[in-house]
Amino acid sequence: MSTLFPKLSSSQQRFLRDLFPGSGALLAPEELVGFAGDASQKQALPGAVVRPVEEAQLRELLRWAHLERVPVYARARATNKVGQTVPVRGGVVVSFLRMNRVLDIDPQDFVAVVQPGVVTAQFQQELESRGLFYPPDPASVKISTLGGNVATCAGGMRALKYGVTRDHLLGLRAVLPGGEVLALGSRCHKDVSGLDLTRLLAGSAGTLALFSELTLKLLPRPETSASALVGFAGFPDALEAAAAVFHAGLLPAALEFMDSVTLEALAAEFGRHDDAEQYSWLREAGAALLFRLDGSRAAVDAEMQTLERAVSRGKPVFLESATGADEEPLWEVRRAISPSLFHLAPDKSGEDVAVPRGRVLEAVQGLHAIGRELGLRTACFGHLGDGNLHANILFDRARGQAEAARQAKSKLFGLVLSLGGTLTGEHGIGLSKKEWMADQIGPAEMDVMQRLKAVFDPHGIMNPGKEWA
Amino acid sequence: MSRDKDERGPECILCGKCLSACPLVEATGQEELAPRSKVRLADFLQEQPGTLDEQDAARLASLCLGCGRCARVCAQGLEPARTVAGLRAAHPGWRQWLWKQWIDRASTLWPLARRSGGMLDRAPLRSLARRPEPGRLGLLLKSLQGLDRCPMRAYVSLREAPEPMEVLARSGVDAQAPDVAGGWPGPSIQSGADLAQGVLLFSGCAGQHLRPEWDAKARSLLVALGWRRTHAEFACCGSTLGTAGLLAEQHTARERNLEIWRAGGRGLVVAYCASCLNGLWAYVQEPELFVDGREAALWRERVVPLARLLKFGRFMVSDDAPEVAGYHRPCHVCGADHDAALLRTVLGSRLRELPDRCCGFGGPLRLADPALADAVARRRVADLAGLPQVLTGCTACALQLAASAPEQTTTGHWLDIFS
Repeated sequence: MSTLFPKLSSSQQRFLRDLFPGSGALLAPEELVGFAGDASQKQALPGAVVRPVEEAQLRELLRWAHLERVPVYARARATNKVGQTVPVRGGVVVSFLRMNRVLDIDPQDFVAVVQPGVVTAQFQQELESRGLFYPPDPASVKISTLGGNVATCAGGMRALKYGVTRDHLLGLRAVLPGGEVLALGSRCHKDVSGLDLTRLLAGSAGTLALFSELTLKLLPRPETSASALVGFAGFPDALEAAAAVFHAGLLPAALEFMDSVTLEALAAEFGRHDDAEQYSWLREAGAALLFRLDGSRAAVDAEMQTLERAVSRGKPVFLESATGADEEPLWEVRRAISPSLFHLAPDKSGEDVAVPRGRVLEAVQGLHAIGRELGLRTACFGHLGDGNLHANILFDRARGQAEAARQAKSKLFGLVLSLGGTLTGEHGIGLSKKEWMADQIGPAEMDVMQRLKAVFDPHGIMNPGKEWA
Repeated sequence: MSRDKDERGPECILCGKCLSACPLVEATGQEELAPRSKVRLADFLQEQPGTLDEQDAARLASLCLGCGRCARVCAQGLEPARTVAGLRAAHPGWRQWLWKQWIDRASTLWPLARRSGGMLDRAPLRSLARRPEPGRLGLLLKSLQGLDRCPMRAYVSLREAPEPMEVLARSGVDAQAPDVAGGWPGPSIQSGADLAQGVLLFSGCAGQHLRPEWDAKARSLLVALGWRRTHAEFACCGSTLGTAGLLAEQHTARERNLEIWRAGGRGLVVAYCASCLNGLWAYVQEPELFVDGREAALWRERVVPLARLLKFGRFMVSDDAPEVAGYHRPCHVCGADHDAALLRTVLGSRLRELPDRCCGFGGPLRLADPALADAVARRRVADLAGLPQVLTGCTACALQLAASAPEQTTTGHWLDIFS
């Protein structure tokens, strides 16, 4: 068999087969191929895949991997965009798809306890029928898992009002290399005992520990919500409208923006749908904003009126509002953006940079200027309300544009950091941004991070090749 | 989009949307069975020839239900089930492997053939099983399921129906003949009143051979609607053959069915199985089957679900009808679900539409790995708890549900409830 597949020794393979019986361990090359990549489109083949169903297996696995110095990579739906799940140094991929049970939903404590493999949208649906609410909603909400969301501290569209995943994580059980289990946090909504290791692990991207259980904070479900999709002639108009909304005293649950190139990609996507006529506005607007308000019915009705008055400052060319179930088609437009960009170019580099909220216009205009300079198209969309932009560099590898795209990415990061921004608001550093990490994080800070990493994972077996190691 | 991109065709971007759509992943938690993994495996075989054991890779690729749900969520417009079929077709040992599975497994997978009216005559099937004809694969697979369950009692009757011309107008079927300068081969094309005269009933494998009562009911309903029925010896729709990678047999079946349609003046072809309809509509993906694009478009327009015509009738539901009837939406419903619309009209508040899940029939997966198909079926069965009756609009789903439903739940095609 080819050396493409990093081999584990026969005794290592036997260990895995014994610990994960039946279809719980995969060692055959053809079965491993599907576990090589994620939505970053980067790929590397693992030596094995295991599928735990309980924490005891994770403990035993990490005890063994720690002793044997075998790399371990956590994976659920592999929707990550920076290669966090790619097993670049062989070893064992841990698939969490079979640890997918909701263990407890407690409407008195406003707490849920879940295994990492639960799909976020399915969890939210289950809560809805009980009058409860878990706000984080990354664009991948229907296809990504709570474990993955915690591992990457996923943000999402409601982050503007409700915060990111970390803000809804009360505690977790984390298995360390060596097999020790940390029971962190509690079911209390306030808890300042000791160092906040819970928040440290949220966003650690599998570099410190594997999670076996997550304790999540819940909220009462808002009585209703309403959304408005508003098209403008250009981006400055859209920004003026957004500023007017905040000035009017509104804090939307979400505020997303789309620039003209993004709208062009969406027009190509929805133009092939049966109901294409509904989306003809995509061709007319040069920018769009998508708002969601939530709360009591009376408050949302009143706020929507205020919002519609406020956005008129930007002279909208299109406005559609909807409430309840009718909002979904509006949000489907937003969720369709990322894949739709492939209508414009076969390859894209999507960077989820963030800038201080007052610097968004400079960031978007700067990205387009970089694209013009290098002869590439660029598209920008994202979470206007919190300054988190999805800056996309569109290119065609087959036409030799990969190097120009790489230069554009580098210039974008330089621009963002000069504006006081960050390389990543949501996706993480992973493989894709590793070489720029030192531009943002200084040597002293990096040194502390590496020493922290060594405390959790002295042999560097946890997701090696990403972030710090 | 660049020219190079067009030449390469769409590629998988590994976004992971298909994992949430795939019933196999949902039932097993096995990502290697996901559409994304299969597409990746197919690419890998091309990129790195000789690095994988092709037999093993072909076996893994064969573990697909062929439900097509992944294609509906794919932003790139990929159809992983076709990728799988292509892998199967290209693999030199696949055909032999498939028939070896049939010979080895069919007798153990066949249910006991006891029906209320006595023993089902299995002689023709046994003879087929001994000398399997590839073109009959769909029939063979369906014969594995659900034939030992009692048929359902009828409790709905059609009281009144508009004239066929009115039905055509209300159902939105385009009755105009296309303007074909120079003409197409074959009899002149039916339009308007001709279309309202007679239809070709597409019975499908199950209606022809396994549940002839479905065919009989479809015929009598067409007569009651005022249509003069036209008997036609259609071949298999071809969908199971295609899924199984038997592409030559699929092509032959499609050609034969189109010849029958042309010989009948290219009139309406009415079918009552969602999977057959999907299979028939899919002919347009093979443009060389047609004289030109307009003929392909006409075929797409003139293959019509029976429920689309029937739902304009007035029905009577007898007093002894069950209080609740569940509806299982077949994976292969393409576009509007006319079966569901008909049942909503007929049963009103009695109808309960089940969560959208695959029944687990699985086509060739029934042979390749029946345990996997059963894992999918068990999830559907869990939804049936407490329901006295479950209806569907696909013959394969109907047979699968009959095989897996709990004792207290009767299952069937919606045709079963019509007297």
